Amino acid sequence: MYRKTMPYKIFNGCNILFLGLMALLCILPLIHVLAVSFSSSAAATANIVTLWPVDFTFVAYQKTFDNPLFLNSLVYAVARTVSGTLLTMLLTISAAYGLSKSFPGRTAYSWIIVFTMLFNGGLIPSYMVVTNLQLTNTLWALILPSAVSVFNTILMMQFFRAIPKELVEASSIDGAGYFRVLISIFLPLSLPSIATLSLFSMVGHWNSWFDGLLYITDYRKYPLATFLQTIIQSGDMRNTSIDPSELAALSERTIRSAQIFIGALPILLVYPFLQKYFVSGTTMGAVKE
Amino acid sequence: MKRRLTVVKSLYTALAISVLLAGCASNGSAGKENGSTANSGAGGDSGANEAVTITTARIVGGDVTFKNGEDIDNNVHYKWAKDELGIILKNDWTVGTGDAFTTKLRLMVNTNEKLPDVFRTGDLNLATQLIDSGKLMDITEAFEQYASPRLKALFEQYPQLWYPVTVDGRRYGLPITNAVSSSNVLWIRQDWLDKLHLDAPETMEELEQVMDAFTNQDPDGNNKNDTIGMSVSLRNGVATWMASSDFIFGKAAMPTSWNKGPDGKLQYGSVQPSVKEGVSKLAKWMKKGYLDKDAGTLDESKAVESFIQGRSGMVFGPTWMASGWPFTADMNFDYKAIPLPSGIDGQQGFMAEQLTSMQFYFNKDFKHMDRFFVYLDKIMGPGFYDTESEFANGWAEGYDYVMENGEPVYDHDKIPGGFTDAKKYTLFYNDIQTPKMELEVMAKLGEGNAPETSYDKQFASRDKRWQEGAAVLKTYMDKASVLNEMTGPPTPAMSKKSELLKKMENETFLKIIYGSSPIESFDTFVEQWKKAGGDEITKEVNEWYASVIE
Amino acid sequence: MSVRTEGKKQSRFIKDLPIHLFILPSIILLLIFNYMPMAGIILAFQDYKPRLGLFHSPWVGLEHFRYLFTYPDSKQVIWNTFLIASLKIVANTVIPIGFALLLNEIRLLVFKRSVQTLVYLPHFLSWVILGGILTDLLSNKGLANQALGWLGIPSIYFLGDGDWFRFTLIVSDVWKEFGFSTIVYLAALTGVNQSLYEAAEIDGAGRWKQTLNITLPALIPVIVVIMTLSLGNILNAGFDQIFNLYNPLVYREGDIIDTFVYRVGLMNGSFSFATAVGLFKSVVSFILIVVSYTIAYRWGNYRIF
Repeated sequence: MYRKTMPYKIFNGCNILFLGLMALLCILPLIHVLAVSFSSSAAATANIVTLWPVDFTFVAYQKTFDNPLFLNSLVYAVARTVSGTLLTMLLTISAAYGLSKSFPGRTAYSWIIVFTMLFNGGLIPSYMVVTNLQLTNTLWALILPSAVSVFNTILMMQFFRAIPKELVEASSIDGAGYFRVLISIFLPLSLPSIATLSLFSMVGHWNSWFDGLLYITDYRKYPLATFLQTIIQSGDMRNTSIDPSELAALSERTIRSAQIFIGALPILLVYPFLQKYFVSGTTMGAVKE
Repeated sequence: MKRRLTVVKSLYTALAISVLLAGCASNGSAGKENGSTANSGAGGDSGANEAVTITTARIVGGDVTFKNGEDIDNNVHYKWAKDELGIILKNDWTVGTGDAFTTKLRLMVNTNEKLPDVFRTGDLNLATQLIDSGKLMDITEAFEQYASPRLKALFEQYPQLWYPVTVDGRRYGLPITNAVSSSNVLWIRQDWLDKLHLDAPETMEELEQVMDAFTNQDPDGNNKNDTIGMSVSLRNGVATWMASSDFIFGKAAMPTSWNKGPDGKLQYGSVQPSVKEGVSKLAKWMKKGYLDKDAGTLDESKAVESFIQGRSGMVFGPTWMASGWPFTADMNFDYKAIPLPSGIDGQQGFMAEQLTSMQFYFNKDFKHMDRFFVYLDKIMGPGFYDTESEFANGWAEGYDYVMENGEPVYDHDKIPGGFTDAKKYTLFYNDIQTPKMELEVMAKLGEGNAPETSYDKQFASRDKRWQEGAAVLKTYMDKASVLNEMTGPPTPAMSKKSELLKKMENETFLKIIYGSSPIESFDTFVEQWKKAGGDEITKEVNEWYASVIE
Repeated sequence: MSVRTEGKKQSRFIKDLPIHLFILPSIILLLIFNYMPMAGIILAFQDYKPRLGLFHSPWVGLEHFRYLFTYPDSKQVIWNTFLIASLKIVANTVIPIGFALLLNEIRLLVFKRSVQTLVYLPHFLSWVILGGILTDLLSNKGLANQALGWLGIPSIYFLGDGDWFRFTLIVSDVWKEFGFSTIVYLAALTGVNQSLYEAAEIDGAGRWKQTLNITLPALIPVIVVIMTLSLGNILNAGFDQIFNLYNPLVYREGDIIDTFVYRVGLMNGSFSFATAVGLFKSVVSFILIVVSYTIAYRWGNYRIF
């Protein structure tokens, strides 16, 4: 009914306008990066490219796809993201399910988990654990240490708790075990939250670069984010002997932009597929009917 | 030309003498190693039959490229080292960035992992930690025993090279020399000078006149008040590596540097009275609009953009700015390098490049120092501009040059499969330059002489403006260089307090320049600086200085 | 419920065993990768020397903490950190919620989806890249100041003027992250029982009333959890962002603990000092989280975790 009222119509118009403007504001930097990637190197160095390419060229993309390191790092990034997200989600769902029940020891478990979000021993001991477990230079070094996500676990637990108790009790009476309740009741009802947390986990893995630098001791096996880190650092010539070839690498702003853009593409493309779970807004109600 | 010959001559004399000395030395200590390698220091290849492995760790950044399916563990240089010297180069680990390299080394030393045999770093704090850990080799004797004559001659010529790695009189690393051949000149818009009927500025007063005209007389003729006198970066302080403003301070005292005062002791530049004058000059220029209003937030490469875009009349920086970065081929106006004008004390002065900024360090269990020095001498051939060096033409045929009719050609388009920088594969991952030699060659070309040696030809393919800049720089480089004399490891008070002092300094200077603090705050800063640890640091620096110059 | 009346702890445990097994894998991983390294916290009380190792390095007690607190700038730096971080936490909660609610009103699915995808993009650009873009955008001749010029407002030195610098930090951080943070609230909105709206409609409640009485209460659990967990960042004001944007003109207003530790670290590379600072930050966050947990539980009768 309210949709028909005049004030709501005015609100709706303003709302659409406002959201549209915000969207525009958010996409500008990426358009800039894109414009630089299609511009000539000289124009990019002079910083005269804004939102439209200057001296349009594909050279940067050609060079990017000629670079085996870049393509390799894409593959490693996908491998890491897929396996890391699977592992994290398995652990998250399992732990959150357990924690959503009431039982003695629950609070202790929660604090044990939350505590790790706050306290850590720092770089040296963490590094020692990973090297002593001989994980260096393997995919495990990138997915195991961060496999348990405190944030995701707590949030998932919240979502599980929101599931009406009657549904659970009804199935328990039917004699369904914990595992079957999880599979047949909790999971189908939690698709939006699972999609959301998977997305967080994927994005986290896709963007994380520091562990790659630390634990991968062969630069040819860097995942994408780590590889990108090696090309975007700006040069500091204060104390180094100057070498023209290093300067030339600095000037390749167009290639850098191309790689940043292509590097963001896969994770951007995943989004619309997960989006359907948390945009429609009727999933939960539909299942409950 | 003549000067260059004399330099070479004196080097050869030194070489001849050292060959004799070195020969004696190594004979005396024969039999220390496996016998077969004892004599290799002077002779070079006598012990090269037995293959040895040298492990290293290195950065492989975006500047390292490959061809023919090679990679960092298997390439033309590694093949050469194995075939010619019997040295198998092996990478324990590789990383992509300098920061990661330092972090990784720091972690390794802190977790007792095995260090590679040889590695390079320029981080003196890390080096201090490494030395303290007892994992590094004291190379004092090994250098005397195995270093090649010309390397020894170089260190005799520049004994201060040893300062960064010397602890209690022992040497824990091998400093590698810089080219010291490109800083600094003043790049200026010749077309603007012509249009406004001005001469290139030689003094501070003339410089101010030119800047005023560049700012206010619409040199680009677009009827808009949109030009500035000079591009300057202030984000990292007044003395930095490009778009710097350090020449304003002349020779009297250089901000951020330790220089010899009238009493023969080292004093910190930033707190000297002449610097106050220089900073107030910058404040005046900022107020008059000669400088970019955003200078305080622009880093070095961003600051240069105004010059590249044709909005600025001058920028002070190294000759290599004309190498393709940051200056581009698209700059369709007439600009050139001129000598820097004299500073506020009436003298030309600029912050000079350090003699060394990188050092080799060695695992204390490394057994093949003799072979390392043989290898080092070979890859230093080009740095000595040795025409007999096997790398005289370039680092690998078909990679960075090709032969045509018995002559090396450096045109990238003529190299089948494209140019690949083979010098990046060496243990130093670059060529090792020796001080001022590159300047000699570049200046010779810049003065219009025809290239003769293969080195001349390599440099002849560089941008003409770079060569001309070198010719300009050569005319005043020696007399205008202000060298930071504090090149030792950081002193205890420095480690503890210099962060605060540095922050205080940058903040004070910039606020004065922007007019948000009065010039008098400089005096307050000097007082605070002394109290907050400056005096203590000065004392320690001078104790260190006294210990090295004796 | 009959189990409890029997009062046998052991049988309760056996009944709960499956629950423990669900949680156990996570706990084991945490023990290995988080709790074991916590032994390193003793570094904060040592003058760590690699040669001597973790167990033989000299003890210095609270020396590193003393250094942090007696440092002439430390009050300013800690205050900056706290101020910037808490403003960010508030802004990064309020704005995404508002945005999620506005987006929730849109019926046109294509528009809704596209807006959502676009606002999510800036999250994927690193501060190194955005730093360069912002320096251009906010310079004296940049786009932002040109726009102000049209409105007759004199140009503002966003990155060089202290108060404006903090403002810029928070606005740009919100701009980068709000789209991404909105997602979790959208997900929570899907859980709102649609029949409640229908009932309200019949009662004649307007959209504003519905939002106030149905939508917001449904979001509150998630909001409380996220706010509480973000207290863990109360002393993390965003190193990457500030490092790429700050300069000597705004040291007084923009210098934070992490940039300070970075600069000190460059000078002496001490892991001990960095560990001590990390511990200080952890303790502060921990206290805040415990406090907010207790408040929610005692007064709101609500369990955060």
